[in-house]
Amino acid sequence: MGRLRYSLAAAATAAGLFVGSAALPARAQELNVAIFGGTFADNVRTCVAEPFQRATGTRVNFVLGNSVQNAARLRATRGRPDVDVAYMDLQVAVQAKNEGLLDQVDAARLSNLPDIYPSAVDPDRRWIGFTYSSTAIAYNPQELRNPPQSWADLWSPSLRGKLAIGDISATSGQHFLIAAARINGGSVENIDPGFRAIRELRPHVVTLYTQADQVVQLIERGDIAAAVWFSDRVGAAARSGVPVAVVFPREGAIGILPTFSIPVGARNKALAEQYMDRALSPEAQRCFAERQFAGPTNRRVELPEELARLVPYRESVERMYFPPPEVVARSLPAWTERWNREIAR
Amino acid sequence: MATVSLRGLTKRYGTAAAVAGVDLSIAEGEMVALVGPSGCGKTTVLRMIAGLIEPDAGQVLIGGTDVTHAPAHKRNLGLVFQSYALFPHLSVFENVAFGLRRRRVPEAEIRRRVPQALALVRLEGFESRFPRQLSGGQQQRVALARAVVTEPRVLLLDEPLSNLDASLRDAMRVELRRLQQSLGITTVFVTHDQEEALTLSDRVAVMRAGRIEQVGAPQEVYERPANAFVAGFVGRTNLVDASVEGADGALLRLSGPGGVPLRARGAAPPGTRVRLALRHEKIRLGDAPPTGAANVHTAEVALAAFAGAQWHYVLRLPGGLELQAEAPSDAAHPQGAQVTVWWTAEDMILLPAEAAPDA
Amino acid sequence: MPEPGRHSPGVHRRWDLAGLGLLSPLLLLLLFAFLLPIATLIPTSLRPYIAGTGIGEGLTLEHYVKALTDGFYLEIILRTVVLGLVVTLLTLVVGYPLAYVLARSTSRWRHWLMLLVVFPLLLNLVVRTFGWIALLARRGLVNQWLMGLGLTEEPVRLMFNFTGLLIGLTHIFLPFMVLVLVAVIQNIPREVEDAARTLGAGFWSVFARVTLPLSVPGILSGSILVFVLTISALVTPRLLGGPTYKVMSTLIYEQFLQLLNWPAGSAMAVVMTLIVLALILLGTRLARRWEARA
Repeated sequence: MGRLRYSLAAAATAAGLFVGSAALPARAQELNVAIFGGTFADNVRTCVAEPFQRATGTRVNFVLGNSVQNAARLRATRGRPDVDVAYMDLQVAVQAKNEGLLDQVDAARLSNLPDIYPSAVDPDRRWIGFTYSSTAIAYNPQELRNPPQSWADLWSPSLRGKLAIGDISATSGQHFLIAAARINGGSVENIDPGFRAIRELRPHVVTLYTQADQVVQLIERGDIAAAVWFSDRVGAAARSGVPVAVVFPREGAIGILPTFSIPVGARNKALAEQYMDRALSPEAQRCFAERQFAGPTNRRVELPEELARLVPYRESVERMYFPPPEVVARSLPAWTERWNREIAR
Repeated sequence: MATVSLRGLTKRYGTAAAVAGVDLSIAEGEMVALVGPSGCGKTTVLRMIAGLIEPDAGQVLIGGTDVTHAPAHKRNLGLVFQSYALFPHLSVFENVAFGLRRRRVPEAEIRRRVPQALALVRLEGFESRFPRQLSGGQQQRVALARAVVTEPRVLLLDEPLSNLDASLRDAMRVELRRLQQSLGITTVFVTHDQEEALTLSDRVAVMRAGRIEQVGAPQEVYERPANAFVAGFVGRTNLVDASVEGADGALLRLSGPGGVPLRARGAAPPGTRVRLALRHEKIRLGDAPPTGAANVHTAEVALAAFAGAQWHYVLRLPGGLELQAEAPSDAAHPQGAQVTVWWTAEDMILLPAEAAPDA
Repeated sequence: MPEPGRHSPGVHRRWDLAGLGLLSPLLLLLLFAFLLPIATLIPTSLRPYIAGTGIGEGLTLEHYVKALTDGFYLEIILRTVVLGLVVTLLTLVVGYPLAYVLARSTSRWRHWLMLLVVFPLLLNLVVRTFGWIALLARRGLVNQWLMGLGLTEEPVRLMFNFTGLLIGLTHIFLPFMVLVLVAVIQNIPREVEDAARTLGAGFWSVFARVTLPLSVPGILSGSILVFVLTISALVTPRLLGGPTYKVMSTLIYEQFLQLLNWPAGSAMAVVMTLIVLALILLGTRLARRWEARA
C-alpha cells in the first residue's frame, strides 16, 4: 500500500499538481520541516530554526506547503515520511491524526509542554498548538471612517462592491461561513443559515481570494475597503506600509490554531522533539509573537501592552471561538461542494 | 503562341548583379536554350519571364505586350521546374487540371483536356495516382502535361532533364523536342548542359556572369564561337595562344607555344598575340594529309583513352604543345606511338583577344 | 546438426530478445514515467472516501457516477473542453499568419519577430500570468484604458471568467502553435507555390489550394498539442480563473490538495486522461487519413 501511495504522489505531480519541492534525503544532523510559506516561514526561521541550529549544530531544511499540502505529503509517504516535523492547521492535523499519520510526542522530552494552554495540546499529544491567530476583519482606515465592528456590519450597504472574503479553500472562508451561520442562529452542525447569509452578501464581494497575499494587492490597488482576513497578516502588512487595520468583531473572532506534529516513522524523532521544545519556549514564542503578530500558546510569555491589543492574548484567547476540528474536517467536503455551486459561481 | 522580348533585363541582389542587361528576342514557336555555368543568371532570367522575380530594370515583352510588372498568375505561361514541383496532395488528374480550374474551364472540358494532355506525355491511365507513387521520369512528364494543358503562350523549362538518370534523359530529350514541335509552342529552357542545349534548341544563348555572350543557331555557336568562353563552354575545344608572324593572302602564319608553326584563316597585323580554338574532333590522325592541308605535324600519343564510339587522345607536338583529340575507334593509336596529325586552316578559329575564361 | 529451417526461428527469437534487452531501459523509463502514474490513478479512483477519516476500504464507482452525472461537474467538463477548443482555434487563427510570415519572410526582422514569439516561453509561467492579472484586473491597465477612452463607465470583468482564461491561455500556448506551424510551412517547397502561381493562381488561391492543405499535418499536431496543454493547464486557470471559474484541472487540484479526497480527484483525472486520449486518437487518425490521400 505504501508503494502505491508513493507512486500516487508521483502521479499527482505528473498530472501537474503542485506537491511542493522534494525534500533532500536527510543526512545526519539534518531536520526536515514541512512548513507554511511566506512570512510565517521567515519568522519561524529567525525565532526557532536559527537558534536551534546554533544550539545543536543541526541543519534545518524547510519544505514549503500549506496545511493540506503538508497532510498530503504525509499521506503519500505514509510510514516513511521525508519530513520530521509538519505544520498544519488544527482541523487538518485532526484529519491526519485520524488517518494514523501522526506520532505521539514524548511529554518527558518537552520541558515547555506544561506551560502551553491545555486547549492547545492534543490529549493524545499527536499535535501541539504553536501559535494563536484568528480570522477577523481587516479594513482600510483611509477609506472607512467608521469601520465595521461586528460580523453583521459586513452586510451593511455601504460595503457593497468593497469587500473581499476568502474562498472555501482558504481557512478564512471556512471560518467566515461558520461565523455567518452562528450570527444567524446556526452553528457548525447547522451551517444552512451561513450559506444563506453569504449568498445575500455576494453582491458586496469583489473577490473570493484563495491566497492570503492577494488581499494586500486588493487593498493597495483600492479594489476593496474591507476583507475577512487573518489578524496576523494585518499586523505584518501594516508594518510594511499597507493601509490596513484589524477589528476583532464583537461576536468573537474565529480562532486559528496552527499546530505541529511528528509524522509516524520520522527518521529523527528525538531531534524533532528537541526542535518542538525550542519552538514552545518563552523566548521563541515571544520572538514569533512580535514578528508574526500571532498570539503565544505558552502562558508564561509576557507581551508589551501595545502588541497585546493586536494579537490573541490571554483574555482574548478565551473570547475566541474555536470550531470543533473533528466536525469541520468531516463537513468540509460537503461545504466545499455546496460553496462551489451556490457561492463561487 | 507568342514572341518573347527581353530588353536590358537586370536583377541585382545587394550590390551583385545576378542578371546584368540581357537583351533577347525569341520568335513565335521558337525553342531557345539559355545555357551557361551555374550562377550565370540563366534561371533568374527564366523566373523574370515567368513573373516570379521582379526585375530591377529592363522589360519583358510577351506577344509584344509589356508584362514586366504583371503578376505571374496573369501571364498565361507554362513553367516546368527542375524539382517538378507537383502538388503532393493532389492526384495526377487534379495536378494537370489545376491550371484549367483556375481559368474556370467547364468541368466537361476539363475531363476532355486532362486525359489529352496526359496522352501527349504518354501517361494515359495515371489520373488517379499521386505524385509520390510515380518515378522521377513520370513526375517530370506530369509536370510537362500540367504546364501545357492550359495552352500557354510560352513554355518555360528550368533544367527539365537534369534530375533524370542518363538513359531516361536521352529518351526525354527526344520526347520534349517532339512535343514542342507538335505543339509549335514558343519555348525557353535553361540548362547547364551544352550538349542538351545544342541538340534541343533552335537557338542557343550562352550566358556568363549575368550577360549573354553569344546567341545563335547551335551550329553557328559551335562553329563560330564569339569568344574563348563560348568556345570553351560549347563543345570540346583546345585553346592555343599564338603570335602573328605574317600573312599569305587570306592565311595567317602564326607561331604557337614552343614555336609550333600554325596556319589559320583570318586577318591580323604581324606581332599580334591571338588565341585560337581547335575542336577536338577536327584533328585528324594517322591517315595521309591531303595536299594543301595547312597544318601537318608529327606528334607523340601521350595518352590514349577508349570511350566507346571514339578514342580520346592527348597529343604532344614537338616544342611541347599538347592538344586533345577525338577519333573514331576503328583506327586506334597506342600510347607512345608517333603519328601524323593534321587539320585545315578553317578548323582553327581566330578568337578576339581576351583574358582566359575562368571556367 | 539441426536443419537450417528449424534453426532459424531460434536465431530469430534470440535476436528479438537481444533487441528487447537493448530497448528495455528506455521501455522501463517510459513505463515508469508515463504509464505507472496513470495506472495507479485507476485503483485509487475506485476507493470510497470518508471525510475527516481518509480513504476507505472496498471498491465503488461513486466518484465516476458523480463526475459524469452531476450537472455541476458536467458543466465544468464541458466548459473545459470548450475552452480547449476555443483556445486552440484562437492560437491557430492568430498563429498561422504569424507562422507564415516567419517561415516565408527573408527580412532581417524575421529573427526579432521569432524572438518575440518565443520570448514568453523563456519567462516563468507565474510571472506571465501575473502580468495578465495586472492588465486584466478590475483596475488593471486594460480597464483604465477602456474607461479613459470613455468606452465603458464601469470596469469590464476580464478576469475570473471565460474571457480571462481565454486571453491568458491563448497567449501562453501561442508559441507552441507557431513553432509547430513554422516548421511545417518551411517544409512546403517554394517551387510548389510558384508552380501554382504560374498556373494562374493568385495569392489567396495559392494559399487556399496549396499552402493551407499542405500545412494540415502541422495544423493537426499543433492543435492537439495546444488542446492538451490547455485543458491540463493548472497555474493559469487557478490565477486567472480563481475560485469562481473552475476548470477540470483546478477541480482535480482542489480534490487532491484542498479536500484530500484523492479518490474523487483520481476519478476526475482519469476522465480527463480519457478525453485527451480520445482526442489524440482522433487527431492521429485524421492525420493518417490525410497523409494517405497525399
